[in-house]
Amino acid sequence: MTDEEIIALYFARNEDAIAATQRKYDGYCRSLIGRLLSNPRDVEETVSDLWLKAWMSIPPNRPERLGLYLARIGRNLACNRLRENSAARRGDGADALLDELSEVLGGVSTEEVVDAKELQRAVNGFLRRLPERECSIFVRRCFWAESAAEIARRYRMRENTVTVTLHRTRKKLREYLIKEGYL
Amino acid sequence: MNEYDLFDAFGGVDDALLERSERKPVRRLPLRKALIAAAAVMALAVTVFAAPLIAELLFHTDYEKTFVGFVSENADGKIVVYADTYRIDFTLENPDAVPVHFESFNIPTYFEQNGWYQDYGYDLTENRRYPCMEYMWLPSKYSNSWCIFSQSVFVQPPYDASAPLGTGQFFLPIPPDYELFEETLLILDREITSYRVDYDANFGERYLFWTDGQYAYQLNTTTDITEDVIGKIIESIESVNDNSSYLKTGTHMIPAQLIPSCIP
Repeated sequence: MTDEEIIALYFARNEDAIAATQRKYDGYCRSLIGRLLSNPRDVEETVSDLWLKAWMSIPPNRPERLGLYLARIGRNLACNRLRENSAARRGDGADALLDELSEVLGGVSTEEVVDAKELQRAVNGFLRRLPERECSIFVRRCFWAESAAEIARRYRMRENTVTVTLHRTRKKLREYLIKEGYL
Repeated sequence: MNEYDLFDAFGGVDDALLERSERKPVRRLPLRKALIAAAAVMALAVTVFAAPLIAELLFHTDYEKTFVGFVSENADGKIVVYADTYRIDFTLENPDAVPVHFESFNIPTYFEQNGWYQDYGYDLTENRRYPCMEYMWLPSKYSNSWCIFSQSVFVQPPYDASAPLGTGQFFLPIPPDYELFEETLLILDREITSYRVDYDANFGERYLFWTDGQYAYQLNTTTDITEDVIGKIIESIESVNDNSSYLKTGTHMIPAQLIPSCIP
């Protein structure tokens, strides 16, 4: 079933839409969420929340790429759960990624509240300035939460090269955020 | 701000960037391997190539016939054309230094087997002369562009026309405070909606964007080219069924995604 046909089911408020979405995108979304959350129960609940959120948000939303739309929702839901778990980190798959992002912030959290949309715009602006390959590697890590080993397999690179590239890109991001006044 | 805020911000990465990160990467022949290939060719040129009939008996000849030369960049930012006995350096600022013709060779073809490039076998094609550098596929530093030296322009296919031009969603390096001027070009009885932006008036850099409905293209020029030339450039690019874009150069077609490039 094509994305358009599935979305048409959502718009017709036909509950088959959820089953069709699950058939097509369960593995895709589950792998992303599974990389971020290590507890199987957390993963299961987040995936369930994802289908519900998709049902609630389409319509009015009409995503052009259903897969990416679901991945984005799944990632946000996983992020919320990570925040809930943050008081006592329990070895979630995202821990290493969060440590890396903390490194971008210089290891210091500030009380200052940032406008999420503004920060998203800044991140997108930064990514657009990167060379294509470097940008994709960074997106694979920071959005898709893939490990350096997975990225190395995808791009047929040495894992060490990916690790070094990611380190340099994080350094560039820190400099960019400082320049833009976020840090 | 903390790491969760930053993590959240990555959740808002543009669709275009996410889609690009999902694309299967193009396999590049590493420079070192290509240099080894060139060295092997030179070694063979004085021996095996001198007796092609004997060589044909000794080696399989049923290999790909694509590798004529390739383009790379060196540390100084120069474009370097490597071929089996040539190394041609020039800069983009000095197109006059570009040779007019490029001669092809009997050149060994390197192909992958069990993850390794095998350094044997060659292809007994006839020697041919090709027009050189009128069109050239430039590597990543120049954003995978076509360079058309005689017009001092770059043509860049961003490969993604999913978002309409001029919406701000489109993945092109258009600063947000620059105004896009929409105009309609009439090329070969086809109306093409294009967008022009004067990127930097001081340097005279201009961008022109257009879409053929399947792909979106960017043309970047420092010279004030005429509508007629723009039309020829647009006309020279066509999409084919295998979802690649091709630049026509006479009877040859350069696939847009072939890296390292072959000069037709």
